[in-house]
Amino acid sequence: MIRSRTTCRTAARRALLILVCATLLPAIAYAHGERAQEPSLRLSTIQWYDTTWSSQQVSVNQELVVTGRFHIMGSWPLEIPSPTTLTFLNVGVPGPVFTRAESEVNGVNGVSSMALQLGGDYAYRIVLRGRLPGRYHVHPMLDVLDAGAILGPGQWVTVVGDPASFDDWITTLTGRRLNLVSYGLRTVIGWHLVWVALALVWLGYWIRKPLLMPRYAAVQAGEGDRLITRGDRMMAAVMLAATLVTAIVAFAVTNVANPVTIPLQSHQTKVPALDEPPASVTIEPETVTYLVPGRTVQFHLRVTNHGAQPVRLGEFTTANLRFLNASVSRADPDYPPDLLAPAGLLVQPNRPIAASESIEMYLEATSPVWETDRLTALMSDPTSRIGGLFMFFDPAGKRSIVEFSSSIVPTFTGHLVGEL
Amino acid sequence: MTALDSGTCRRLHPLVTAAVVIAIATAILSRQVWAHGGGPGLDYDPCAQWAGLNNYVHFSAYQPEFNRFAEYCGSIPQSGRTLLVFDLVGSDLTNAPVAVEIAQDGGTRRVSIPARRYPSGVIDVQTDLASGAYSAMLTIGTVPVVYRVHFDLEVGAWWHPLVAPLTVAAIILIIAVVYCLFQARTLAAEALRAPPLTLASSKPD
Repeated sequence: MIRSRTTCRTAARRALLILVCATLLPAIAYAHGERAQEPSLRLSTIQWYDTTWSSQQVSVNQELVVTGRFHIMGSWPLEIPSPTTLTFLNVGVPGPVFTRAESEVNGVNGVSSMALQLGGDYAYRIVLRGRLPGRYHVHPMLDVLDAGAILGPGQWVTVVGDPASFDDWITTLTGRRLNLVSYGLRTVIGWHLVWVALALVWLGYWIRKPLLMPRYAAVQAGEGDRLITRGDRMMAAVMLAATLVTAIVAFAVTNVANPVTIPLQSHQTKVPALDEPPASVTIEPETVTYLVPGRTVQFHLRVTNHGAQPVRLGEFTTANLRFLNASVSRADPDYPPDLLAPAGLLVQPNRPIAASESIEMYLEATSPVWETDRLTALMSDPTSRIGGLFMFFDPAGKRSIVEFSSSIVPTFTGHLVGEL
Repeated sequence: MTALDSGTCRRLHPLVTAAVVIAIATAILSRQVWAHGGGPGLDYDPCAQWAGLNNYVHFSAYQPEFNRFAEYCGSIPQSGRTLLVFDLVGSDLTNAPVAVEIAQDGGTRRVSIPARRYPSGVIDVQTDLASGAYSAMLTIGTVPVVYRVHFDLEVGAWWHPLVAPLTVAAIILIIAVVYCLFQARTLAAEALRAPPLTLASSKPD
């Protein structure tokens, strides 16, 4: 019987050890996970454009400014909660490697969450400061309530310097100058140690007794009432008293040391969209297909120019991927090359659309990124649609942005005009 | 405190064993995640291979006559018409000449495309493949910088998708059988130790 009990305990300990190891040794996670998001979340919700990063290398404490615009799709998918309730402008980086100094959307302070309008365009600015040295992928990002984080384009930025030199000074409403890097750190550690000590006493008291399996066996044998002794009850009373006293003392000491406090603030800002003139061009999709082996989205569109000036199609952008008509548009040389389709945008007819003219256009948007970023995993998505922005330019360079949304059908057969 | 008797421990032992097996399975099976859950990295993607520091080649195969919605990587279910697509990601690859060769194990060459540039970054190859093992080789660039990227293919491997679920099912069955054997053995031992039953009505009047 003694041998059997020992075997049982050993087996239980091994199981516990393996469970602990499995918990403590997680697999490595790579980057931000945007490729795991459904295609409709990336293709048909928020379109980011004009994104710039002030530098690709900053020192610790040096500022990095991310600016750009985003368009909230008017044809926002019904199954995805929209940003008209609560949205927060954030930045997507792997952990607290930067600190955010300020942010704004259409000139409104971005410190709080905001409500945005479907179909609206917004200009944003995020100021970060380098904190931990390393090379990071920096994205602007919108956190939409119940929909999750929707990432903008990412650029690799290197932070160099000594992490110990990082500081974060602020002035409080009462005029105190504080360095948030170290402020209150000793107090936090001290109180944590007090609670850890209390917890260890409580754990130690019970661990010295027989543990799970013998107690389970006693309950099974109808002896459960005898498991808690008078001494256990006394120890529990002492621990309860110690816990309450510690909490009360901690509260009192903190209040005396910091008499002026304000509660955590909650606020929702309504940010009006940019006052942009309506697009002078309209687009009606006739057919849109995705040629799977060619990695090409083929558009058959009817395009009408309602403006007074001729316009040319310069760019199609969706899910942070840009397809440029090389004869009209060029990207900033510092723009991340992995977000530019190498084959660009094939446009037929590739000529200006005259004022009041309506023509049929055929476009090819070819890129391996359709596949490698899983943007065309249409059959596993509840919304087999593609969205994006078409950008037209008049002879003076004035841009007209047209939102586009259409169903899309994957196909394995088709002819491409452009060369693979 | 009541001591744990040997019967209780014996009854609990299979549960402990099952917990250990589940813990090991959890620890091992959770190591690898095959989804495209990352940013620019591709270490998670079994259908992609690096070609240089910042470039990679992604491979996928399709058999639209068999299943229009499925994309395959190393195991292709049936022989017959197959579309092989290689995605070249990275400007170094779209600017370099790429030669494609697909050979059956044993050396028979099935596809050979001489080196040329693919500005769009997409190489689309259509071919008929019989059952068997193949290797697809891409030679990218010119001397002195040449990358060789190699993908293994197995055609006619319709049973591959069954391996993982059947393995899990087999483990569950083995655990269940072991548990039942323990219970049966315990029951037999207890029956042997118990006093024989006497029937009150068997006494003659």
